[in-house]
Amino acid sequence: MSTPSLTHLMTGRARLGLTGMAAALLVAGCGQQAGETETAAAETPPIVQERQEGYKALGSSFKLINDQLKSGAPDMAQIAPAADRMNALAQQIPNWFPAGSGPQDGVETDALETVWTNPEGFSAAQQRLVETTAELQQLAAAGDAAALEAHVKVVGASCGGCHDDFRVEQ
Amino acid sequence: MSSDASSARVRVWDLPTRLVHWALAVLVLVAWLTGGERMDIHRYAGYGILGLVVFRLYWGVAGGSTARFSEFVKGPGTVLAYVRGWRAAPSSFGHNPLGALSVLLLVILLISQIGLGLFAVDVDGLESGPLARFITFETGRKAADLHELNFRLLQAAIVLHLVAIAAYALFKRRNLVGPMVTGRDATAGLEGELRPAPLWRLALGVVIAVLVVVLIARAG
Ligand code: HEC
Repeated sequence: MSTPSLTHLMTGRARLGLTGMAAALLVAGCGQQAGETETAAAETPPIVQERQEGYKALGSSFKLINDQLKSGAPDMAQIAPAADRMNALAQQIPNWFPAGSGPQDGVETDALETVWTNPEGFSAAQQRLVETTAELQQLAAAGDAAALEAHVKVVGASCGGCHDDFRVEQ
Repeated sequence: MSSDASSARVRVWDLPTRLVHWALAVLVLVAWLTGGERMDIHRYAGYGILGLVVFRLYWGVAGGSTARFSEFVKGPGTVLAYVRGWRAAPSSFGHNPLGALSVLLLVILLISQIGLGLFAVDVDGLESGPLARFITFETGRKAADLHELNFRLLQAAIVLHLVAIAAYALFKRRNLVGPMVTGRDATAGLEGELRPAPLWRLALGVVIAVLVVVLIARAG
């Protein structure tokens, strides 16, 4: 049996139809994306943008650490400053949620009202992240890759624990 | 359906095509149920789907005749004519011109779903696809959002697929599920012949699919 080459597989019209479909999908996807970012930029107040940037920085540093650990040859010279950044950011979290910046104030945010109605719970969750990232700093300083690998799961759980209770489920 | 006319039960789908179909159904369900919950299982389900789709693309060029894109993908004119005369249209051997579009749509959505998943990063920054280390956290988050959006499209396409199967059963008394299980179609008056692919082609396809999955999983 002879194997036909890919280009001969479809009739010209079929190929045209396919290209059209792919183009339509692409256009539809881009339209949706553009619409989303426009509304977000228009309605998000500066303080919410600031905390979302802060959380993204937290995520970037954490990703850097996880990527290093997965690489098989983790570079402690990169992990240690990332752990420092995470701990510094964790300590700043209380400044990111002033009164009037919650969904109950009509603000577009993924923070739940519980951040303001359950301040003790929120503070405890924030404190947990401060502690787990402090240990991350110590392990990075000690250069203990195996212990780090186990500990990032604990750190990840302290992110997820707070998100479960204080962030819109996505 | 007459069960006595065993001579009329023609072979339509080869075994690899059927296995890929049902394995995809199971793994997409598993991936759906474990997404965001059991990311270890979700990851393996994704690798499985990746391998199946790679194999299906290969089989669409090298497989049995009814699995080949060149045999079932038709131009817009043929599709339109088929839709217009849908009620009276004679039973197709293998994919009909409209079903072919459904196959393409599902395959395209599966490819984009896997592609996005490979780069997706979880909000906690802990879980991520094997290729996420080549991109930034923010881009990885975008990939995760699109992974979610694309899944809604995939779900819609699957619903459409199921509705179409029900419509053929209801309005045209055509059993499409049975042949996808047994490989044989008992529809009266069905004409056509499945030209199966030789075994070595199957072996080659399995090797290619496994290689692709291993290379990508190792990259992470
Ligand atoms: C004390 C609670 C708390 C902890 C701990 C926490 N988060 Fe969050 N996080 C939130 C809340 C609340 C939001 C929603 C902010 C908003 O939309 O205004 C959020 C949002 C985010 C976002 C989305 C930002 C955006 O672009 O909208 C990311 C990313 C994120 N967190 C990452 C992390 C990571 C990584 C960790 C752990 C290293 C972490 N968070 C720990 C409460 C927390």
